[in-house]
Amino acid sequence: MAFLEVKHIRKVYTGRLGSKETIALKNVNFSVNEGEFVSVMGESGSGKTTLLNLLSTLDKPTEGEITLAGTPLTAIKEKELSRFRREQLGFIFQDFNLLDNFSLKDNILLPLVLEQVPVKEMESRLKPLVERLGISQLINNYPYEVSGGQKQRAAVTRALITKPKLILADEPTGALDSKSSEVLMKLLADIHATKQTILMVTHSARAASYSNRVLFIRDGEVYHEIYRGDQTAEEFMNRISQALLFAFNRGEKNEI
Amino acid sequence: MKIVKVEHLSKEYGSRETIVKALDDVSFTIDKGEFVAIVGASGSGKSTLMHLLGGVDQPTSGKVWVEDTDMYTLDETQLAIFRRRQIGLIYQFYNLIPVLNVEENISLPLLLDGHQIDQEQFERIIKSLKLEQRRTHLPNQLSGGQQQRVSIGRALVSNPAIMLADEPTGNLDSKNSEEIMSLLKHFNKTFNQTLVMITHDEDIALMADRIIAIEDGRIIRDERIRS
Amino acid sequence: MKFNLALKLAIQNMKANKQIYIPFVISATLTVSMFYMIVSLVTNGFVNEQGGSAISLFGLGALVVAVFSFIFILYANSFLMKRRKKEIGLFNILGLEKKHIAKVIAIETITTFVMSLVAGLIVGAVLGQLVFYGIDYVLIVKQDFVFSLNVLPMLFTGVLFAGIFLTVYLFNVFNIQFSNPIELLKGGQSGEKEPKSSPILFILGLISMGMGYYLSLTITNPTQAVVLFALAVGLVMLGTYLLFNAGTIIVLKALKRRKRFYYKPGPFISISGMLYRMKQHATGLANICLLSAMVLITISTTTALYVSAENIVSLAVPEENILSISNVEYLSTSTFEETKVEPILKTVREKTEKSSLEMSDLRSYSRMTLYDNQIINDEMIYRYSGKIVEGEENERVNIRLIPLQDYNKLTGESLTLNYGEIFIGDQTNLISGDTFTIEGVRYQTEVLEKMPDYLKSASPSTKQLVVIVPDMNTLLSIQRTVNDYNENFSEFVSKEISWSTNGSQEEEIAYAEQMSEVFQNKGLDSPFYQNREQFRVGYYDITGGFLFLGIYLGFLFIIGTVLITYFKQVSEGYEDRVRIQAMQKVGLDKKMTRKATRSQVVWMFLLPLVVAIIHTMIAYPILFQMLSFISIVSHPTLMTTFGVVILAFTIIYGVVYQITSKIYLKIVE
Repeated sequence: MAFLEVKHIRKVYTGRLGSKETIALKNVNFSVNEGEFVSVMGESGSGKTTLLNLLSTLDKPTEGEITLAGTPLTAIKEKELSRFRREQLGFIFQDFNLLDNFSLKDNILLPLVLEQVPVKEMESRLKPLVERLGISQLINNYPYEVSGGQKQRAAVTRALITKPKLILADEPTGALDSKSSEVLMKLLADIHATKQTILMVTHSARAASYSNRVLFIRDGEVYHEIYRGDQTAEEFMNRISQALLFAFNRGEKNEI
Repeated sequence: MKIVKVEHLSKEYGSRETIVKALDDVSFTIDKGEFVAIVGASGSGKSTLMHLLGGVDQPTSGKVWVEDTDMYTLDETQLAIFRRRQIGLIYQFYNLIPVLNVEENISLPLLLDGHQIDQEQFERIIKSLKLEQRRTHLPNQLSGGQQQRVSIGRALVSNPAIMLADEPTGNLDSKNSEEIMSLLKHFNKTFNQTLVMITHDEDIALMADRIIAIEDGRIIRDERIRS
Repeated sequence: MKFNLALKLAIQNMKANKQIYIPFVISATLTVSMFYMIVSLVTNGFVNEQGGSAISLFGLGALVVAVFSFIFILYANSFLMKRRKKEIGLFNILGLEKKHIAKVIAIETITTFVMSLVAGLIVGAVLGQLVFYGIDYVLIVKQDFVFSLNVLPMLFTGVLFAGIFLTVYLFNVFNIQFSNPIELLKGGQSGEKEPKSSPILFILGLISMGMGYYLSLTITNPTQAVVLFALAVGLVMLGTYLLFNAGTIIVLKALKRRKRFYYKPGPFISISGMLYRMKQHATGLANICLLSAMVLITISTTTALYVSAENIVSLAVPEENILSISNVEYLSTSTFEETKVEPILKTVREKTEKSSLEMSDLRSYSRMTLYDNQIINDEMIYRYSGKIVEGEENERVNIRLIPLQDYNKLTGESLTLNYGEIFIGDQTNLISGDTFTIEGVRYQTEVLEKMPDYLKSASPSTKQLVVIVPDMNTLLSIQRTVNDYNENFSEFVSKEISWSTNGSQEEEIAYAEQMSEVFQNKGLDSPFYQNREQFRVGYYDITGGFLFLGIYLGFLFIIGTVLITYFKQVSEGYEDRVRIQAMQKVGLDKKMTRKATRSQVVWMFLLPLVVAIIHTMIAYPILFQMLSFISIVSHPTLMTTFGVVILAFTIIYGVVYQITSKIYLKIVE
């Protein structure tokens, strides 16, 4: 059994006015092995955000099952969900999702505090991580005092500090300029190299080129999939761009 | 003809300890009828530039000329009137007044002026936006795409000098996005309507005639991709 | 802009924001009705006739209510406008000029004004009768006041609140005038940075409050009390604001540094949340604290006054009818009896026969009262003797001299005195040894075992010593000696006569009026008459008026506190929601949210309440002094009232907090 299994996922929303039904995800199937770095690409409205919400346990599928490290997500009781999220998952958001009233240090420690980890343990985990991510000088600053790139790195530290099984990233470079994006993606690649499983949703081909597998989603379905294999990032990126352009110009469905 | 002239525009926020330079000495011009896309990441300064072009914020220094008017020499009232008549604004959110119906929302700028509505033009706009069936509906009875079409209508109704669109398709799915983009291109080409669009999506940007890229408050690239 | 468009926008805006508009209108309605009712009281013709001094009190009360309404509505308005800022920014961006927006807001303001005014007048009219019953009761006057609908109070109310709402409108328009659209759009979420701790302000606050406290605790002179009270109040208020602003930040930051305490889910979330918001928070909390203290103080003091009233009446006028005739011509005792006392008694008897009442328990005795003396080393120091020792430690004593014969007749006893002896009724240990020297003559003292109550001091704060001298001659010789000191002042011997009439309140008052006619000349020459019922009614007039006012204002302040608490909770709920939801994305669950908010709620609840209670308790000494000035209140009474009121208030406040916290949670989740 794969590390993350997504089977026959279907998500339907009923509109607020009662009448209209939106089918966000039609029939999604894929699996991710431990230690993989997977990108999910698609435009707005393709269903990628919905998919991410389901994987984050922020929402439940209408049909189908998601299993992480043997645990079916739908089987987790409501009360346990927050704990599961805290312990097993790490999140990186497009808008960083840092709290203005906490210093970067406190922002990073937040999930551990919620887990009621003792102070000494928290600080021992903090130190090596902030050094690795190059923000150790900034931990006492507040979010409004640092740049976008630095905020995102703090967010990544927060995602890592709980030693999660799976990291979920939602357009992590969406709010960053190209230089900061590069720094961030290199960091994610490094993290991936330490056998961390990462699933990233993005519309940026450049960002996706750092991963080793790309799933293409449109109108609620995964319709295409490409592997990096031995290619360089540059080569992989070009392949991804082509696949996207193809899709955008409404080319033939291509399956591997 | 140069319909927009931006000269050494700068905007700073914050207090002594932390000054953020949102825009740093930006200068460029736009010809009538151009379709310009301004791209950049969040925090790059593109939204700030958008606000300043739209007359809804105050620059720290520099000038913005729209159709030979130095916008920031106008007083409050003059600026509001200028905005209403010469600048059509389309946002990603915050577009329509929730308590007014489609017709009222579209004709809002004219209603405020107390002007007579040119019925012919009004009908033309409603038709090309495919909103004939929805005239008396309220915004909460419309889909995202339809709401956005209404805002385009409002932006056009007073024949503004420029149309400013801030991530107009950001909130929409691919089908509606396509529709909105083709509508905007249509108005741009058919009526020679100058269009300035902000986006962080490089693919949407590729639909314009010219792309200006902003990073850290400065222009880093300005290229014409279509003649 | 067409009126219809503006109207439509205004109405829909109010509908969309009803969660905050409805409480605002309710608040305004309540203040309108409170003002209307009290103004009705003042202008009511009937009350004017019967109410006496209560009227000026109510006038003062109306003024207080007016000022309070002004401040309160302005404050509530700021909450309202904060939520609206984003909408207004949107209008501005979409092309509405400031003058259009002003028009829309004008319509909204006028609508809220009219709604509150009409609703307030109706509520006031309905409750007005209830209020009048209340007045009836506290003034103990048997007439039934009737609340009638009168144009004048309505007019007053209308004009006052029109003025208030106009000011509010101008204030709002002014604010909008000076902000650009983007600021307004972002105005809903004002990004506050972590506040700087200001040790200077903290220390200033401590000093200010310390000084205010010191004033209250060290007051001894009742006459200064009123002035010093105002000063102390000012200092404590300033101190409270400074301490809440600076002190809370310092405390929170200190807590933050204690890592083992801080890095737990509850404190982690609540402390940083509170710190972040402290700047706006602090003033609101200080307001609640001061309002609460005002409630506690007004209600406690007025209740204590009222409760003591009966006590005071019976001390001030111990018999139903008291007549005091002074021998100002220095006639001999027998001549005085014949030519002055008997004729007056005859008149009194005649008048009483003509009335519906019967005279009984007629008593009389002679006495001479020397006021404001000192007793040092068991010797009387007469006030004009020039030997008075200045200074607070040597208190003043009244000395009441009665001849033994009169005393025996009064009490039915047959006490005897040897030469050089006197009886003293010394309950307060004014005399330590067994002798007492009066004007050079030293007497052996014997303490009276039981002394009638009506001879005791009328006021617990005035010291009085009763001295029974062997005979009238001793009394007269003492009189001669003391009268030598000051040529401008003479002490007189007087005849004290008392009797009962056992009538109903109405009969007694009618009787008293007749008697007062007889003794109209109020020179030293003529007798001084007091009727207990008449005194009681007059006294309740004042104290009742105070009590009513105290409870009325106390009630108003409670409403104010409740509403401010509500507004704060709602406003904070919306602010916190964003934060809490962001935290939920990273794994915060409902249980923890509750826990964190609970500790925050407890802080916010307890802090103003505890400080208010401390303020009230520290104010006790100065309040006691002030009350003694007006009337007589004993420590046990005052302390009990304080205790009961504090308890009741804590319970009410607790209940209110529970309810509003539930609302907060609902918004945040």
